[in-house]
Amino acid sequence: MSPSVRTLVVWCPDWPLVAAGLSDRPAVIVAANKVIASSAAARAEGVRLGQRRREAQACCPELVVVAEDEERDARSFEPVVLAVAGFTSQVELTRPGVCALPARAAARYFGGEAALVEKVCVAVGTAVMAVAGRGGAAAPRPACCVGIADGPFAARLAARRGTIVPRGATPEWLSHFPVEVLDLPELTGVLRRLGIGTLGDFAGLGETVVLARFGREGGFAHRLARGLDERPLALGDPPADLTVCRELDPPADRADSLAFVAVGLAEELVGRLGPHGLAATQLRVEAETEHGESLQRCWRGDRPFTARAMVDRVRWQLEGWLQGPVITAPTAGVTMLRLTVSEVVPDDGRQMDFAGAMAEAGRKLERGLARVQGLLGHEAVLIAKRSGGRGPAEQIRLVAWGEEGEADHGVRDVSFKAARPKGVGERSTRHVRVARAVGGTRDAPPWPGRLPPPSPALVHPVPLPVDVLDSHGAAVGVTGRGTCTSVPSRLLLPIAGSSSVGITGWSGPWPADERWWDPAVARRRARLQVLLEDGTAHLLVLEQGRWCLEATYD
Amino acid sequence: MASYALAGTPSVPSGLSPKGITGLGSRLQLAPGPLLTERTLPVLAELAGLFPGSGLPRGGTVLLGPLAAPDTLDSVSGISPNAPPRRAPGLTSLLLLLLAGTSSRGYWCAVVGLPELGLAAAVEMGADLDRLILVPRPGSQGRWQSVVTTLLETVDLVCLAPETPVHPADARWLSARARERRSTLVVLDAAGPPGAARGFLRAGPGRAGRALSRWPGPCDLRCAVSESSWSGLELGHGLLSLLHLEAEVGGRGAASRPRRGHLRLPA
Repeated sequence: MSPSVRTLVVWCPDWPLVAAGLSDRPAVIVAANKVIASSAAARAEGVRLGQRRREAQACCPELVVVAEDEERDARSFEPVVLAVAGFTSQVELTRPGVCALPARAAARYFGGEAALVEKVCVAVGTAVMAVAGRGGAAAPRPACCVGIADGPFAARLAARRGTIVPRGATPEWLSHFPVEVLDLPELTGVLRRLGIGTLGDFAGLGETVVLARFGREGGFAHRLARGLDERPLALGDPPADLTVCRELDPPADRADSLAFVAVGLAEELVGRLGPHGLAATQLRVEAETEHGESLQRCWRGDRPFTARAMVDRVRWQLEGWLQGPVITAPTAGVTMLRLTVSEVVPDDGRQMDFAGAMAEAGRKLERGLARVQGLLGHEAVLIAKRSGGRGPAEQIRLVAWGEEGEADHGVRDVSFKAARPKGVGERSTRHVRVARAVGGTRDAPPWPGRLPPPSPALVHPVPLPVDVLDSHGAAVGVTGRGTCTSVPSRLLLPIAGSSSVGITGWSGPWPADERWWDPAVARRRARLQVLLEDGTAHLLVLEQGRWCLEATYD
Repeated sequence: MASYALAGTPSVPSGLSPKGITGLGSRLQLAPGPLLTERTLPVLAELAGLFPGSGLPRGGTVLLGPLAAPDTLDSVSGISPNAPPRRAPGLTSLLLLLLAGTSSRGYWCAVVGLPELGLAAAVEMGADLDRLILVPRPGSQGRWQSVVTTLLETVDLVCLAPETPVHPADARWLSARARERRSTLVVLDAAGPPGAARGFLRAGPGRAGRALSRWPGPCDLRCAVSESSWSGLELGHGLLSLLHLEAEVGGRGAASRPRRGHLRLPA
């Protein structure tokens, strides 16, 4: 068995918060309504990871809530990676906030492991301060943690405690940790119930027994618990050519257009590995510009990369490069993109479940929509969700395709949509939610004062200002008691050359006095349905003395 | 019945009702491709009688717009304020009905353009919003064509609402692409100058340009609303409650003899 590689891990605590410039105040990062990262100040108030947003806000009312943005995290992490790259060229990124490097050679050069750790701490600390300072916040204390141990898993734990585990002592050191550090909730739940509480207990079980009872995932965890390398070496010859390259003409200067190119490359790579039964755990991304500048980074995943996860890494890295500090940002468009797989493991394969077959079919859809997003930008492809509201425009909320919407009432998550890869927790199985067949308005909460159906078929994004006149040509208003001041009889469009149109039917007004408790967002409106001489029906809205044509019943 | 057998087996994931199971067959074949044997996309039962084969033709181009040919429209370009409207009202409702019929059966639909589409109304007609992709701003000249082409390769039904007249070559290319990928292209053809078709009041004489169809390409079916009227709203009371539509579907082949139907919304 080959000995584990002596590894140094740099871990920047609460990185998403630092990247968002919120590290010095109570703040949380939220994804799918669950807290996924919190600042030290928030934790002091009792906020915990995995809490729902509301629970966290209940713990700490002044909490700042920010949505997850992996690109932001990766972009801001680039200066830190540059600082680490000053020590060795072999930096491996695990996820934004964590990177690793082989410690042996560097330690020898810099005068011992303790000296290396100190130097890395200073360099990374300065870089983190600069990132945090850009957002106007002080960096958390400590700004970074560095640790050395045998193998990346133990080194990550060592970094969290800021220790250097002596060579060869890693299994012994690991044995006191609770099994929860494996971050495999399903497995550790069973282990706990079996009375196995620490990694030492788990490592004491026979390898074959563990493999028989817990399968590959259990075997993998067992290796970690024994302080061995994360993966056994791949048996058999890997395919010779694991590099894919694409020349770009014209050069691309936007990360999303490059990510679109990367989709093809990543699928080609996965396709090449597939026939050999292999999957990639380490990916090298290289980009070159017209002016000969080049950038390369190595990404490592705990679990094999899917094509989509590869594309994410490419996008994160190029975002960081293209939009990074002026000194390091390229001066010209990217002309070449190259992906190399530098480490492979046997592919465990995945069992397609009942919903998995649908996910397979849905992947084609995802690819197509990703392509449209590449053409027009991420925000251009939308999917509608129902939301509560009185007006026709408020009953629909548009979210960009691929963004996990918050689970709220009467709203389903988009089926077939794989949960976005979450860095280190990359899973090869896709979470697929099966669509519930729900009737149109079921379990929608009531909105008193809402316009009754049918809803208008056209809702104008920019309401058109109009004038509503009574039979004497005077403007019609709505009183504080919610009645019209006079009978509306003509509608006038402020368009040159158009005359007023007679109103043959009207109903309302429906007053809506919303959010009166908050002056900043309070809106007071009244809506009126009108039927015109020409047979068209419209919804008018009065706000602050001005009538607008809000929607058309077409 | 296969659906009953499936519904009884324990392997059915929770939250998947028997109604979902019946749609599953179609969901499993999401990707349009030559293996698909169906020749039509489903429409709502109320509309089935209007369409040959009781559905929208797969691979076909369906034009929602005036039933008359474009050159006939041109002759009424000197339009007076009391002249009949350029675009018959009710066309958007007809479009929403088509989207509802297709998306509620598990097929994916995309709407390109038309940022003003009232999706609350679509839900009331039975549309499944999770199957409805929206690209409200498909970009300028040279870009929207690739967007529509990509979507035709991706989803089952693409609705295009061109802002400006489409170039004949583009129109032919998109129709050919739809035929090749066996997905349906629905074009919401709004004749007249931009803005006149936005569902605001009809354009006055000052705004009347050349009333040309924006879709100069081929179409297999042509759906039109010849008459639409709302009822239920009186002077000072009542509610807009019923929309009466006179729909007409003509076209080539089996649809060469136009079919008419009366629709009441909500049904």
